[in-house]
Amino acid sequence: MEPLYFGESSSPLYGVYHAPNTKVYSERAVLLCYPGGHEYMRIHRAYRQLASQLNKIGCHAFRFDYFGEGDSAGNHHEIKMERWVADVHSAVKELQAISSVRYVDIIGLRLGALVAAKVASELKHIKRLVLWEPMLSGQQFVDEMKDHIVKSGVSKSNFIDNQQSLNLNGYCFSEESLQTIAGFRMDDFEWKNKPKVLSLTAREELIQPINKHFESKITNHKMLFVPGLTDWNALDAIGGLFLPMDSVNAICSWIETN
Amino acid sequence: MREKILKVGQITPLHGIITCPERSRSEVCVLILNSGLMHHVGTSRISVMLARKLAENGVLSVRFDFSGIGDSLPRRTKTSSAMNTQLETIEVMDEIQSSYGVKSFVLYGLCSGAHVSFAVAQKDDRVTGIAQIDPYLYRNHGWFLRHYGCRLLDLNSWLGFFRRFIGKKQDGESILDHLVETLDGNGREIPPQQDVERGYQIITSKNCKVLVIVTGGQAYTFNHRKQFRNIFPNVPWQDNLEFHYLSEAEHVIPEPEYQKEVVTIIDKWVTKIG
Repeated sequence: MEPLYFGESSSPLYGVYHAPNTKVYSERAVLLCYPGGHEYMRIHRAYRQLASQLNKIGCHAFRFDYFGEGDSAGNHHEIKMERWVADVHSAVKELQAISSVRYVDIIGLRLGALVAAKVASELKHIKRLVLWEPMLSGQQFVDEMKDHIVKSGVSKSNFIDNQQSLNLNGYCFSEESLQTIAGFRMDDFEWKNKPKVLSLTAREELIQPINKHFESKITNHKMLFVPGLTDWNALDAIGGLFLPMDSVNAICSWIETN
Repeated sequence: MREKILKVGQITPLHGIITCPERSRSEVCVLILNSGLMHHVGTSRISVMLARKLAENGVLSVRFDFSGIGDSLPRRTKTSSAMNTQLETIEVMDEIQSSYGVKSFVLYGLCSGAHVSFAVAQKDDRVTGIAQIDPYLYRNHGWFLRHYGCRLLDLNSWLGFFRRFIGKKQDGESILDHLVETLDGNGREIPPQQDVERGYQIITSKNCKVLVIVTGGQAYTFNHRKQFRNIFPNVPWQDNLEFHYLSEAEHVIPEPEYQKEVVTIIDKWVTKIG
């Protein structure tokens, strides 16, 4: 495990490189794109586990924090989707440089899946794409957060303030951030590159719309139903850490066999 | 402000971030410890916010992961995990002292991090201050009076009591639960009250400063700002204790107003003692 800072020196990004457990040259490199806000904290441990599992099957793995998240520069209320897309581009280059591997696979979870899909649709050297609990638009993410506030009730941690910033589970999304997220739609992506795609979800109601979305765009799309967490916004008193090993194993198995 | 990767140890290094101010205005380094299994970013990114605020005021800080947590791999040891966290905190202090020439340290931690800071401060004289959020707390007579006083006038509380008394199971707490006090509400094992009092006596005898912040998440054991001094009556605090009670904040502090307040309290306190 090798933590490092990369990207522009004025706003560096934090990443962790995991080397494969093989002594021979490995030609497989996988970039892990986190979700945002409290979901990042919930899944951090699982991402470390996922990177470790990928190493065991001979892959280089690299996970990183977007601008405004984790140890990277910036504040959370400053996040913008355009910046996150640029961060994924930057992380792909960093992974290529560290691993000396040209072709990269990308795994993204929730909002991270949307950003990963955008980059995979643009870059020719992305061969495989894993969309874990994907969202077809950022509006879905915003709606889920708003619904949670309505259902659980406004509190000192979960509320929308006078500036229309949304605060949920310790993270602030400014009005501008929410606009950039809501306006981010998979329908708008032009798939210049056509990677193999695996989508995983624990929500049965999402299987049909995800399949429908990809049937006209990507010929090699596989959909998997893996039971797991369906409500990402309800936390317990210690932050709701989440270790979905069934999904981690399903992803590694697909990466290994494809 | 500049942030750099910190690696401590050779075979299985501990990983963290060192946040260096533009101009150092303090001789202390603040070590930001893990809270339970949360990695070094901290609940609601509060450890990052704190480190950057401290740097604005010229204070060096390190946030790092204990082995097996976050971005540090597990180490093979024969000691308990509680002892490992103490030894690893001392290991990080050794590294910062040799690399940056820092001789005094402030340890900050929430929950289990508060317990580690408490243990290390008793052992290591380089620790000149500990900032604890939700440290070891104990109920006292006042807690029972305040907790049950209002319930005595509440019909539903009486109905619940009788239901439990006649053996019908019902969600909620029973008086028996309050008499058996080996685990706190977060499932942590807590030492006997007199041991913790003795620990604070050792800490204050070394003139080590103590900042305590208690959140409303500890209501099952703490419900009044004077309770902290009252449960440790034999500690000669003098001016070594600063105490804040955020009765409406949750344990992991997801509320933006309390996040700011906590960061401000710690930053001002470090400036004052540093």
